[in-house]
Amino acid sequence: MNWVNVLLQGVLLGGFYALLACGLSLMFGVMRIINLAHGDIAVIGAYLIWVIVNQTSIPPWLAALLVLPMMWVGGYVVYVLLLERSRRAGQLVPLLTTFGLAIVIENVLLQVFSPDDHSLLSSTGTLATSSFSFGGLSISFFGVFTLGTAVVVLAGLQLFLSRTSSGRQMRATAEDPDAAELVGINARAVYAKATAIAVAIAGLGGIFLAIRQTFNPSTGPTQLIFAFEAVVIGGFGSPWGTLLGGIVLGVAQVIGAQVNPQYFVLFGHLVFLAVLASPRGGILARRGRAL
Amino acid sequence: MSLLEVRSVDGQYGLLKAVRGVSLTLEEGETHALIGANGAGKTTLLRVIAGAHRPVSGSVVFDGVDITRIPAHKRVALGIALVPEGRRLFPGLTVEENLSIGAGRGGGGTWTVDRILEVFPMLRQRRTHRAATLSGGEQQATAIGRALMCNPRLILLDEVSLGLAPIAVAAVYDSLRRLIGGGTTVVLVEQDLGRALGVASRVTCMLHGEIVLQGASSELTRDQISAAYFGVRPSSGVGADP
Amino acid sequence: MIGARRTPLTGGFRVQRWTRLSIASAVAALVVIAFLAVVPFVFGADVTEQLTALLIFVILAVMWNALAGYGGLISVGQQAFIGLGAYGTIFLTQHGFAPYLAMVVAGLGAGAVAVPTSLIMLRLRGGQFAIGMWVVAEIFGILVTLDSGLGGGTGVSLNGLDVYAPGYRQAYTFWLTLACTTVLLGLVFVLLRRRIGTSLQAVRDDEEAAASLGVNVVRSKRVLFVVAAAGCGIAGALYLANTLFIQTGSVFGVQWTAYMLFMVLVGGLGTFEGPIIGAIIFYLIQAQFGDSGAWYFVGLGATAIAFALFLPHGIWGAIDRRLRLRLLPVGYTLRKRETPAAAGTDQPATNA
Repeated sequence: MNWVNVLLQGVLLGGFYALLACGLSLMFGVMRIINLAHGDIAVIGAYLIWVIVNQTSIPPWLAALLVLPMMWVGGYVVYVLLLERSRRAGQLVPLLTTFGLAIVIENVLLQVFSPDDHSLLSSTGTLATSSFSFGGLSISFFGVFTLGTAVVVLAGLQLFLSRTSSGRQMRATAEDPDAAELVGINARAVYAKATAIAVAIAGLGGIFLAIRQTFNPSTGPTQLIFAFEAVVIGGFGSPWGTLLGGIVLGVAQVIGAQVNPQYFVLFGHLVFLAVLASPRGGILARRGRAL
Repeated sequence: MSLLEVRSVDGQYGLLKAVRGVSLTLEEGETHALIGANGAGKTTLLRVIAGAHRPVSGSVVFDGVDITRIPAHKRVALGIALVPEGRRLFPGLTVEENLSIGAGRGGGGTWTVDRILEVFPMLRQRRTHRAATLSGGEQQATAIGRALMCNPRLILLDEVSLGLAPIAVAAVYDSLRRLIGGGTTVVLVEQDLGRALGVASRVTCMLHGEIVLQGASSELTRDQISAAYFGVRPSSGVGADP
Repeated sequence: MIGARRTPLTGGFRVQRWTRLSIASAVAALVVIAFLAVVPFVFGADVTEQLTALLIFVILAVMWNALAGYGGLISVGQQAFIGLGAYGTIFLTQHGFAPYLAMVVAGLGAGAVAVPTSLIMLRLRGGQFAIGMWVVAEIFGILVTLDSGLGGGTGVSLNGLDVYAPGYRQAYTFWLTLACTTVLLGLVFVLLRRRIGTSLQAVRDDEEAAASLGVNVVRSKRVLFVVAAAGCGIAGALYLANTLFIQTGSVFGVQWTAYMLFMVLVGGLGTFEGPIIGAIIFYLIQAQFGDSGAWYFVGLGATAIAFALFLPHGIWGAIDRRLRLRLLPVGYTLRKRETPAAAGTDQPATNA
């Protein structure tokens, strides 16, 4: 594999990470909550589509369209049952409760689905494996599709936040929830909606996860860490920062794997630490806005 | 029926009693100045009326409806808007976005972004700028405009001239007079007695969380008000007005 | 430090640290330690092993609580230091250290590693610190896995303890654990009683306000971070001594954080006594339900959530609020000067 190809693989992988990171970044931006169950929620999305495809004759693309509204509703449930009360209890409580949620999700999945690996690879035909040649490079069709989806989701989120009345309310609430209440915004409803969007996008990430690789009940934490690294490397900035962060992470991992297959994850972690250690990383990480 | 009735409200922050047994009645269309030294409880009283602070006891009745337990965002829909102390604009949103965020919530009113820009011409050039980049006067105008966009029947203005240059204060008050002329009921918290008396039809003076003087601004002398302000109670002060 | 400190205050109040009850409970703590010290003479190796495991939980809970309850630092990655302590012990014994000495040195080594780690991690706040620590734990785990001398990912046994007969080995391990528990808890207790404890609580309550009052926020947090790392490192080393075999997947695993979170939340976040109670409860629950597989963990997670939402100061916090017990006071109690009328109106002023 030559280096141009390595770079390309990294960029495509980065699209997947950006997709995972999107919801994490949105929830942090609107509520200042880092959802430690984010990765496990994505894995729920993966299991949902796996169950639908394997238990019914519904084709994968239609199953994906069914999973998203289910996740959306799940997001509302998570907000109402867990986050609303956590948020009011102080800054640290959401961390404790979302970590608790992560433990619960992982172990319920373990109980229901066993620790075995699952995947949608066999059900999606050639979608996940086919590739095309371009300028001497072999490009995975699914990788391009993932990156394209990430770009569409990020652009859609950007448009939603900047152009719609609902998005404006979300930005206003993120900046000053008390003042938002005074102009008639129901901050609680805005938070619930932000959670629903974040969980639905996490579910979308989970669908791509299910198609591109095998997964099991303990896949979630790794997805959370990758998503978080993408957000931090991107500087907790705009949606495009998240995309850039995902791509940098993906490229670092693929380069690591070139050096030694065992360095795949390690190189990503090291780039993350390097960004944190740089003066810019620290400052952005502290003052960051995610919207 | 009065537009607003505050009935023996107690408000506190932790152990600190900010408002004690305050009652206040507002008629539709009047402009009411709330004056008093720092810490007299004026801001807390406004926040109680707007629903941003829940009173320990007492009730707030708006247009005949007890709204004591109604959250702030729903009171906006009923027609109460607060311009909070410190303006509290959304710094990352543009002037236009700040204005349009509360658009049409109060219902019935006719405020639009264009009409706000007519009342506050200084904002015209700044329409697409982020609120964080505005001057103090422009921020205050935006904050008042943002509240007006909710089409309130009652607008509560907290310290609108605080921290502004004299010329900006004059501009804000010019615009306020046009508002008052339009029939909106206004409660105004103001440190500057002259300014307050210049626009208000009635005055309430607060001291240490209690009302110490109340009356039509035309009937109260400046000495009476100053005495109440500094806590020197003139014997005829409290309840000078029926 | 022992003896009631009476600083005159205006307004008929005096500041009190040690009450008669807390002096009595300090004595009781010493009696408990003395009693525990003779356990290996009285009971069999299995009881000794169980008690060793319990004390390791106590250390972990107290360390995690010191970070979260006093420093406001929720770490999802303390297993980084647990793993370093355990694998550091393996490394040192491979290089000629006596096993028990290696455990202490490896624990302190984990604390030393925490110093440079803190330079990066303490720039993060809230959830960023939480996941950032998780990444640190992952990195340490990967680095250890890459070293084939430490068994790679397949696990490694602690050699060198086989010179002792099993009963003696268990007793020595227990005594070392008891000594470490006593020293570490004493250290945290003293630390929280000193200026740093007060400033840390100020930081936890309002970081910006504390900084503006001249509290050196970063320094206070760093001291706590390093102590907690050393404590977790020693706990990891003792865990190795108790089980004799470790794998990277288990000692660097995030389930440790789940345990610590549970113990601290159930016992009482931000109280000194709470985590000890939490550790005992966790130990009993694990003994009872530890074999129930996934449902056991679902229960742990759900219980932790319930405590975080509905009883944020845990069991001890609830007891303390009702009875105003302050067995081992790290805070101050403001009391009305004793006059017959005011005797019943004692109010704890700071919540330690």
